[in-house]
Amino acid sequence: MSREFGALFWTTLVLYAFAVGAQIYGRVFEKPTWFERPRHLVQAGFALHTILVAWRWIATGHIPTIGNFENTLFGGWFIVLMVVVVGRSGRFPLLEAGALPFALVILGGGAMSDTTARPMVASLKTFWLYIHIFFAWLAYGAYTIACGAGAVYLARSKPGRESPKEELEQLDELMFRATAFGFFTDTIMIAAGSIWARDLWGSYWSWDPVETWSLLSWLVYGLALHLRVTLGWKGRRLAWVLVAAIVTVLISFWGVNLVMQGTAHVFTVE
Amino acid sequence: MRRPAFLFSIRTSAFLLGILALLLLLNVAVPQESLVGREAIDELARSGGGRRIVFGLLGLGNLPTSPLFLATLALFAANLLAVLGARARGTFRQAAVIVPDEATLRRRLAEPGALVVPTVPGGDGADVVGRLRDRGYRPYRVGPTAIWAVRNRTAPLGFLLFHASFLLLLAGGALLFYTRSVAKTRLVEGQALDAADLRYLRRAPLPGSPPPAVEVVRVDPRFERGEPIDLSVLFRFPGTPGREEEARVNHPISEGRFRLLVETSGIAPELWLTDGEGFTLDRVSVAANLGDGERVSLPLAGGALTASIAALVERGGVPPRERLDEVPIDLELRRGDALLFRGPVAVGRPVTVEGLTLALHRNRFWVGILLVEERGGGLLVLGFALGVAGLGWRMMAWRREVSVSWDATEIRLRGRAEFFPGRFEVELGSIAAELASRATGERGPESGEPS
Repeated sequence: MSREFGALFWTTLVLYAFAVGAQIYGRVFEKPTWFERPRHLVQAGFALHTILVAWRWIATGHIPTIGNFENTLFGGWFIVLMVVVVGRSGRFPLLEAGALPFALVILGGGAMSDTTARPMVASLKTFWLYIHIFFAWLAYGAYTIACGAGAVYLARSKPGRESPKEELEQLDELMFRATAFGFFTDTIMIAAGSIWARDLWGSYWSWDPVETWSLLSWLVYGLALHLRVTLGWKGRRLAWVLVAAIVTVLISFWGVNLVMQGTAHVFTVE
Repeated sequence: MRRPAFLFSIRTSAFLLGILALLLLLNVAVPQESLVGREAIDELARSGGGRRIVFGLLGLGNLPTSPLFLATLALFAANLLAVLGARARGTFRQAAVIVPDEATLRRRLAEPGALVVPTVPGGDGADVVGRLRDRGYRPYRVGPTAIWAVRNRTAPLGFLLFHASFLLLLAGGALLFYTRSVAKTRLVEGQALDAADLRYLRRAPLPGSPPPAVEVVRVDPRFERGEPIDLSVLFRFPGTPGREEEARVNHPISEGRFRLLVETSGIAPELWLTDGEGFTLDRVSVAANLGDGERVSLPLAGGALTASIAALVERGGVPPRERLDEVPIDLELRRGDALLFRGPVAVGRPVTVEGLTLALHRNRFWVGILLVEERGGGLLVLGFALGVAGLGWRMMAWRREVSVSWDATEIRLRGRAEFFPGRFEVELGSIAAELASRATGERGPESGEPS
């Protein structure tokens, strides 16, 4: 990446990191005003992030989804977008501290990858790409929100230091709504991916590691919804499930390509 | 006979979801036949101990056909059917309109927690009805001064639809399993598909159809900075005079039950072998691999000679058609074990060995195709569509009810929602606020004066 692009990229990450740090500081030292201010840092970072995505899109001439760097740049943008949208009302203090670390990890990991711009290859030239990745990032963003809300719930419901009941109920409702939205968009992502796979690889389902992990994470979140809706799991129990479940999402998007061979999922072009 | 309780239980569903998730985890943790090959899995199964159980008895080296996975799936399908059957009536009842009687409604509104707002003097509740209708509620008159309203009444049916779609997916998957055959081959421009050249990656358990008659007219690969940015192939169907169709990556073509996908392309040198008197002994086109790919061997002159070739092009660097003949080949020519020639051969520069002349006449393109025959895809897609529709219907359209009564001085509201109580509380509050502001606005004159 160019020096200017790199400077903007790292400035964005620093803003996000400061926001997370400031909110954690506010929680640890019980300074509620430090919950609100970092939101502006996130919004500023998001504005820069949007410029980065647009810059990359114009420079390459295609949607930034080729290679690990572009995928994390664009995917991280979606995650932060959802954090900004959900957090704008101010009803969920510390949400940014709970959810943004994932965006930071993803963006940081992407920055370690090859950032060379590549042309749009034949295997990605289909409108199913846009549907598949759009709903993928909506799902991952929603699951990140659910995990973040769960982490905040756990932090603010510690016996002896509980936050007001109304605040915890709102967090509980956010966990459920984010999970439900994520599950819905995840379902569309998997369905769109299957139909695309039929045209690209000749098979709706190849038991590719990325496919298998994404189905696994879908099942895990389906299980979480069952636990909530039919077995009445709420509060800390559900929070723990959602905090643990994000691991499946991280692995299906990221871990498989890092650790395993033999995936046909075209995140990278070789 | 008593029905087995576990089969009709949602807890069983949750348990089976967990087992399926665990099996999927094994699919990525345990070596799979699709990645390491059948022989490697058989070797592991023979190695004894726990591996014999995992790869032999349980068949986890090929999860989709593993008895454990299939049994779990079958139990899941049975549980799904049972639960759907048991809950269908209740769900339909839940979606039905069951308007409470006036006494019940007033009793609910009298309980603590109801919202109270000032009423419009002389109001007949029309404004209440209007406000509720504006927000998507369907109001029902319960009494002269009482209304019950419901929104998204049929939303519970969305869950039925979503879960029922799984049965379609399972049926589609089963049909695909029994009817799906996949074969690969390479075809040079001008070449017709020959069933004998097909390499089957999978044969369906049920008998299929003979491959379609198709020939390649033209192959057009395009590269940019060494990356494959396009591959389009024009096919002709001899069985249908005049029919030509183009297939591209992500855009297969269909012929009957078959789908033709184009996957890869490369350079196909055309070799001519002539004797010392100029008579042609052999003429052959071969789909060569690029750069450091595996060399392709082919017999010449009825097997008297063997040629082994590779196209001297870096991987990803296939030139455009107008420069195709500039690409030389790396040739190795043998008679038995004896090496006759090794080196590059280009168009216009033949080699002569033992009185025989081998010339690279020209280069053409070849295309690697995947031929797929299957049934059941439609069920799968229908299952996806209904599943998404059902889920969206359920998640976005959660059911809510509002009970309202009024008298000369006040309006009382109370409601309940199946999900998201916080959001519903906000909604109910805004309905109350609207009614209150309307009452305040109409109270310009003192109460009792004509409005």
